Amino acid sequence: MSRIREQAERYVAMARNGPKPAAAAKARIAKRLASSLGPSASPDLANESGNAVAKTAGASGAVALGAGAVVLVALFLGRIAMHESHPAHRAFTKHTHAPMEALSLEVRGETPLLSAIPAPSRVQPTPPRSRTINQVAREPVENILRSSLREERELLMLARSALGRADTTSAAAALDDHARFFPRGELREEREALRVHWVTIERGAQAGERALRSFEDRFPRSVFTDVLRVALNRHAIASGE
Amino acid sequence: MAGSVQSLWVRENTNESTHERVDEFAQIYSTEFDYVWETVRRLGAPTRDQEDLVHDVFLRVHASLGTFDRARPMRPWLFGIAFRVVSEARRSGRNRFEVNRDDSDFISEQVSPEQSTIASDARDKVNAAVARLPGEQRLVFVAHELCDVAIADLVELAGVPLNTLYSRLRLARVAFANALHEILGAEANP
Repeated sequence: MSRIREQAERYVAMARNGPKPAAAAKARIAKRLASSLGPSASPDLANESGNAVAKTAGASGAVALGAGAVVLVALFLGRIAMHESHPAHRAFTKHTHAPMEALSLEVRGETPLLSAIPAPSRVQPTPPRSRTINQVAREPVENILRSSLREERELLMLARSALGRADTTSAAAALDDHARFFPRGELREEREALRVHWVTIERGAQAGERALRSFEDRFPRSVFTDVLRVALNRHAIASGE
Repeated sequence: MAGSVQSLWVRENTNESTHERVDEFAQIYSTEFDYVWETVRRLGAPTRDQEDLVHDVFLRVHASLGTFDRARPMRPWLFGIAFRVVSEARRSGRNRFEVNRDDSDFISEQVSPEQSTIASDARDKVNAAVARLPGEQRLVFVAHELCDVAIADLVELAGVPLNTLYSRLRLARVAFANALHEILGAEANP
């Protein structure tokens, strides 16, 4: 029995010495917190993010820029991270070349594949909010999480609208923004379904088929799989592939 | 006049306390990030969800900072928040059928691949053994053995007397050792 106990203690000790989080993960979460809580609530988090950026840059060979330059870049990134890290802000600034169309759900020339994917609920995108720490402190945490969900929806709505116009560049930007800010967000399954659609439009039915198989592997019981397959077949017939 | 002086005092002190809280939150993030990260992992969160869950833990830390009693140790409080966040995520059904894939992004550059593999293998086995423990034993075992939380600090979170917690820990250690032994035995004799 004592051998079994010693074995358990040894394994617990090994499990305790697991890998430490990468600096990049710490920086990403700091950025998301700065975005969720508002810049005034977390100025040092942006610096945290900037410091990590500096570490990463140093590790990847940016040492040639010189230590002083790295610190300046890190501070600069830290400052702008507070403002630009807000998903809605990024979405609005990135998609200014098609502002009204991108925000409209009434998409012209919507493809069959796109119409097969349920639209996120109708949400009017709002300008970036700047909440004070007192406002945030009074706000229940559920509201903060709910606002993250709204921002997720806004980004996916932009992607969906852009795909409706066959504007794959803007769609990719919105999908990438969602993946960057909400890598494991509540709507990641919807994002990946839209990604399959993007691949189909941009790279053809065969690439779309591969993307769909990968999607099925990841989400084996997804409600989107069947509609994606039907729509993919329609796309292949329509395009003669 | 007295009223306006009082309101000025309140405003200034509120601002001061606001700044203090902002500084405190940033400091907690800086110093306790690794602890929260490890705690979320040891509570059995899937690797792919870890970043989201750590984010949610710090959101709650920020929202609850005003009610935190500074006379008490910080880590048990953080553990309690992490425990609730991970439990709620486990209960919520969304994305539960998603197939897990490890993200190498989470692996630290400070650990060699060999060390990382050994630690990862040990962690998987420990997690599998922990998963076999009954819920009330699992909480006390993970908190005390893996996350360095003193048993006395768990009384409030678990909602049971101290002696009950010690009893659960004793039972959990035996159950964990047996479960791990079975897992290792099954691996050696498939």
